Amino acid sequence: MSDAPVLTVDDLEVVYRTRDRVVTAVTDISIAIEAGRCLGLVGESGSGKSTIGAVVQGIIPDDGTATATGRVTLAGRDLTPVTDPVWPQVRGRDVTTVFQDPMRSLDPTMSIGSMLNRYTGSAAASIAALARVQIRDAATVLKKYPHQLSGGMRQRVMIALALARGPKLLVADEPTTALDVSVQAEVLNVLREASRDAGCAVLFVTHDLGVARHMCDEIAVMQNGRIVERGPADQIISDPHEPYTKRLMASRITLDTDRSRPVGAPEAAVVSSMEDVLKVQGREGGDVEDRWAASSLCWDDFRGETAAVGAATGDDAVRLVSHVTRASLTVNDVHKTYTSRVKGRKVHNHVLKGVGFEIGYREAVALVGESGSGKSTLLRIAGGIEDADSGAVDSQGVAGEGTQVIFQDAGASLTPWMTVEQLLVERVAHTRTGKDMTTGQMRDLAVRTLELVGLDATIMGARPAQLSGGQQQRVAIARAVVVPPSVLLCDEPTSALDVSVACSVLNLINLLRHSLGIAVMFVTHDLAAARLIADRVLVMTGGEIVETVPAERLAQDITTDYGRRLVDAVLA
Amino acid sequence: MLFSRKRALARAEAGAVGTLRDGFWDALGKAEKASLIGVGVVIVVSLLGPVVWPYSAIIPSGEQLLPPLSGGHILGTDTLGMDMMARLLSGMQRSLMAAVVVTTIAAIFGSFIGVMAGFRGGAVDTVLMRVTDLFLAFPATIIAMAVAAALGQSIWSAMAGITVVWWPLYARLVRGEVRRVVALPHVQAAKVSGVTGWRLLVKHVTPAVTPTIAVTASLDIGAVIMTLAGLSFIGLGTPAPAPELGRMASDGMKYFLNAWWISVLPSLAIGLLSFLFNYAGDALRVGLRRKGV
Repeated sequence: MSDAPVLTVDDLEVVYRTRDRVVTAVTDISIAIEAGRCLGLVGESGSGKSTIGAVVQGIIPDDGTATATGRVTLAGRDLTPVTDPVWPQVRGRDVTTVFQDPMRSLDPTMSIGSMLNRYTGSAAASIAALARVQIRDAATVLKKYPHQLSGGMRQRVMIALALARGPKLLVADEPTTALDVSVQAEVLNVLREASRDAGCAVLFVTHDLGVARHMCDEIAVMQNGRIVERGPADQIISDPHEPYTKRLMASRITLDTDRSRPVGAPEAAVVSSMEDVLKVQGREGGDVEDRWAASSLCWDDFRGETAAVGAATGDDAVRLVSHVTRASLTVNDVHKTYTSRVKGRKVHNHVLKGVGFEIGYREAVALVGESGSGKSTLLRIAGGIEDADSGAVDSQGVAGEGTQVIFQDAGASLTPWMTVEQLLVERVAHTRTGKDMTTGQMRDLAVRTLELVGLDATIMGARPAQLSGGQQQRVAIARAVVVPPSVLLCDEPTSALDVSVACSVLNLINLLRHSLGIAVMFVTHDLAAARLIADRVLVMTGGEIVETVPAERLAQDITTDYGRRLVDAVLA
Repeated sequence: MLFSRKRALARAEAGAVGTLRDGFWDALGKAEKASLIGVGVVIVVSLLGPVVWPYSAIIPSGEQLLPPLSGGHILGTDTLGMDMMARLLSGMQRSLMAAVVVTTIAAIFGSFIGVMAGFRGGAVDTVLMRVTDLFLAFPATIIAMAVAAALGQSIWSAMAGITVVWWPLYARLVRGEVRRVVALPHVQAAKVSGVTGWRLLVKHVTPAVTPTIAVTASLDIGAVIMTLAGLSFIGLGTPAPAPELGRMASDGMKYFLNAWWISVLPSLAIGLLSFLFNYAGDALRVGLRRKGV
């Protein structure tokens, strides 16, 4: 590109000082973006990508806790990062932002029109601005308030607002992470085209390589505050050079991911036992190389191992046979309606309209659908958190103890003031298995389970806040399986996690399923993850199951319009 | 008095406290630290003061109506020649102890009602909350006056009157908090793990609520001191010569023009106490700022 770049950052280093330590957030960062181009900053949480986004918007607090060195040139102006007095004039004019959650960043008390007109000057100009983000019914939308719009519409409005002031640079910080997958691609297209038309440079911050490839001309991959690899988007995706980028790519789950082996495993590596896998997988801070190498053991090996265990004693064999013939979870014609009052009138929201299915012994079934499809309500009913209006849920079939739930936000699902040990022991004490056990035995069981999910026994005394996101999810899983349930219900257990952690959690669920012989019901909006975990995929929409597809042939066999939309939404 | 009750409710709804965090002291600003130290000093002084101070609070010990800093009486004497300093110290001690007792009883009883209502829900909730509403429906001062008047002139009846109007605040606050906490994921997760009943309540719910109660209670001590002083001011406390700050302030009004200190000093003492406790309550809230819940 011959144009001078809109944004250049040279030798940026940002250091945060807290009371007791000094953290270098980013170091040695040099980037440049030309008008109309898009640079993607891709990395996991803690990689420093958002810090760079904040620096170029001048929104890092200059209260002395952060110090920055280096140079930022924005639209021809030389700016000292963080402390330059010119930032308030630049921010919101030359550089604008699209945030992750439009509901939080739009003023709930203002109509779309009154927000937009301030920048565009007239209603007609506002309608044109909305047309640019492909909102057709612009005149109506102008009269609405943020809460009256869908998530995808809100984010479009956010983009229109950000572009309305004619910025030179647009910073998009995970703009589609909070949206349903099926609208994610549309919003990305809108953002790309609208910013290209406006001749505006885009700094796109994301954790998702697929999204970045869809959106960006150029990608910079970040790790531990440094840019480890950069290049044209297609080259980074198709031919990554750096090991870290390769691993990020390997831990991406698509509809072509090999289901027979753990995700993220390089082809060549070989590891000999289940223990090795678990030990290494649990060490999140540890050497990434080891972690990935360890994942390479095939699922089939575990299937073999568990089959051997199952055949061990006559008693077990008998029990096994009787189990296999019965379903682990039977859901029969479940209805659920929520009633609320709007302006004095009762409004019925029919969330589940007669849902019925079975999960067989040791079978894994995924329930996919958008928010509002009723999938989470169904999981809560199956988990006994809510009651159905009519219909029956039965999970008494097998040896395990009913159902256990793994929640999306593992951190919030662990009682903050209880230690890992207390949480696990409490669970054991409230099961049939735990009735005759002494406290010592329960603690031993807890330790063994922690090791099973790849955690060290030393975290027994830790409270949830002291653990990383991945560790919290592992503890939540450990609590759920410390006494194996007959069905493990998973409610989007990975959507809040970094890709590499998410994929190790998926591997863990798969592994536990095979090694403990439990059935899994996996609720998600991510078709690729569903395909990886499940044997069968149930597609839900509007409170009904519209389709059942074998996971093996998901992309080919799915027939409903809605199902196809979900398939298309998985960004390759 | 009513004003402070409203404020307490507003604070309750804002509900911004959580579990105890490490480095409580470090989280505080200078003014907040000063207020906590101030409260400490006031407590020590009002507990030890009456014991150490050479003059009695209820026996005349000098000339009548001596102005401050004269005749060996640092704050002067009142109409009967009783030492003002001794009376103030005893008055503060009485106020403080009465306020702590009232707040503690109101907090414990009200929280119990609130926990029951919020945790059990359904009919229990409806009945308990309607009863609470009944108490809140009457003007608090009027009920307190009625109770205090019915029980006769003594500090105990004033305390009883205030307790009767104070507990419903805690019932409401705690019910709301419990309902919020019960809907949190960790409580649902605990239910899924098979935890029910008392254990669920005690282990998974109440620890999230207790800091809120503690902070509200410490903020309330200041308000209770004011209310007690108010009742005593209109003649519902123990009659003179008992050293009650409100009574002293009202009795001194008659002599305001020629002996201002008799009414102004007790008023200042009331103001100081309630100001300090209010500020210290805020400091406590900052220190216990929510963490996770």
